[in-house]
Amino acid sequence: MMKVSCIYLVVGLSAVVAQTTILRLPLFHGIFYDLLIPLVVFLSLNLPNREGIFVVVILGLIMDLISGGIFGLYLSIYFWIFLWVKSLTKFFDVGDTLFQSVLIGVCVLAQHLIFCISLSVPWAEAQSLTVQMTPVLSQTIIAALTGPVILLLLGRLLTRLQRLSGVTRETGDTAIR
Amino acid sequence: MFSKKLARILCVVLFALISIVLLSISAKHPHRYTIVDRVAMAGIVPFQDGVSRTMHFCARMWHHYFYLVSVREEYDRLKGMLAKAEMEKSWSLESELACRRLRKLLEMKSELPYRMVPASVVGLDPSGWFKTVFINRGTEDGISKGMAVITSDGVVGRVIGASGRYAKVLLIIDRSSAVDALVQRTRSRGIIEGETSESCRFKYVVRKADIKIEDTVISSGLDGLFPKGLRVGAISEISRPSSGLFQEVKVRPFVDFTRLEEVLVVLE
Repeated sequence: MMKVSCIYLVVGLSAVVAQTTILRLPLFHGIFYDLLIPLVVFLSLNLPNREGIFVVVILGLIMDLISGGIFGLYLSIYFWIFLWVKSLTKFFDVGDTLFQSVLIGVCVLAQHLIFCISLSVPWAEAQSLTVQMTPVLSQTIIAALTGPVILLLLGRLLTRLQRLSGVTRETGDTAIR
Repeated sequence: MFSKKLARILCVVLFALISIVLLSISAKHPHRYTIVDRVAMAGIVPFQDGVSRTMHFCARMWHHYFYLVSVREEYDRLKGMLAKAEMEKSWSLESELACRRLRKLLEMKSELPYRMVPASVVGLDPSGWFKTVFINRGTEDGISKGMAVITSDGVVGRVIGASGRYAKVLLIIDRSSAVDALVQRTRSRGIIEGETSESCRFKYVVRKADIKIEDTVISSGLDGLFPKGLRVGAISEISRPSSGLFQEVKVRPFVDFTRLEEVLVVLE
């Protein structure tokens, strides 16, 4: 299972590199959301707690290191998303595409709101934030539309990895295959 | 009476004579167009035309369709060459633009009395909320935390972290950034703070300070980070609230942060 964690770590790192270089070009301005969110949701839905948290913490730390925000912000966001989604698996059918779509959209929106709050802008200057809030809606919609596709692709990757290693998952929380 | 042989000879001679006579008559009236000619033409030429058209059709088919196999190959080859030429053209244009930018940086480097290191921007912040970039120079090149980063257009930001070969730069448009600055024309002081990617706030400018739209704001050098006299931006908006000690001023940075590629790190 460590091998699976490492593979998802590599996938996450590739996403980090992509979203700090190619996806930050003016061409893609305001379109792409944080691609690690679908990955964190996927890990929460499909990996046991220990492996999932390991990957989430490493990715969160890396994002914090390369970001100009408060250290620990990404780590906290990913960690709480992981736990929140994990708790949802007990109450909802997480395999439903519509549910996944809403879930990822909500996570992206929540991340933006936390970033916005972390800036601790005085109320008098809050108007200037509206400029930055404009892409939030579009990113949330795009996340809701593309999130389930990313989850599906990650699920395929997991199935292939399990086939290669001959591991059969028995955990009941496996939602995406 | 005549033998068979003699009769044949006579016939040949007779035919020869008739031919000569007919040829003579014909030569006397050249290009005479008789009804026979017309009939002959009407009977033959359509066939000639048909055969000729068929031949042309076949030739055209050969040249325009079957022969196109080689034309297609040539087309592919030429298309490849064109793409290569386009790429070379684009590459050459890119080199020219890079050359211009680097020349401007070099001119600036020689003009300013500071030791500077050129660097390229290699990565941006993963979130749109924070404004940082990564440059391909680090502690191995003498870069350390707090150093000013500039371009030929103006102030970019300051180094907030450096590893061996890379450094993280906080741009002046980030909300947590601050630059001590003054208006070049009137020497009114204030602090430039980041607001959005297109504008900064020029805070703590006293009410009585004489400032106008499009006034240039430069670094004061009093923060100990940015050398004095570096261009920061132009004043884009001024409002004087009915109460309070200060004016509310917005500054449009001279640096286009969306197109930031090469920068200079001020080492001293």
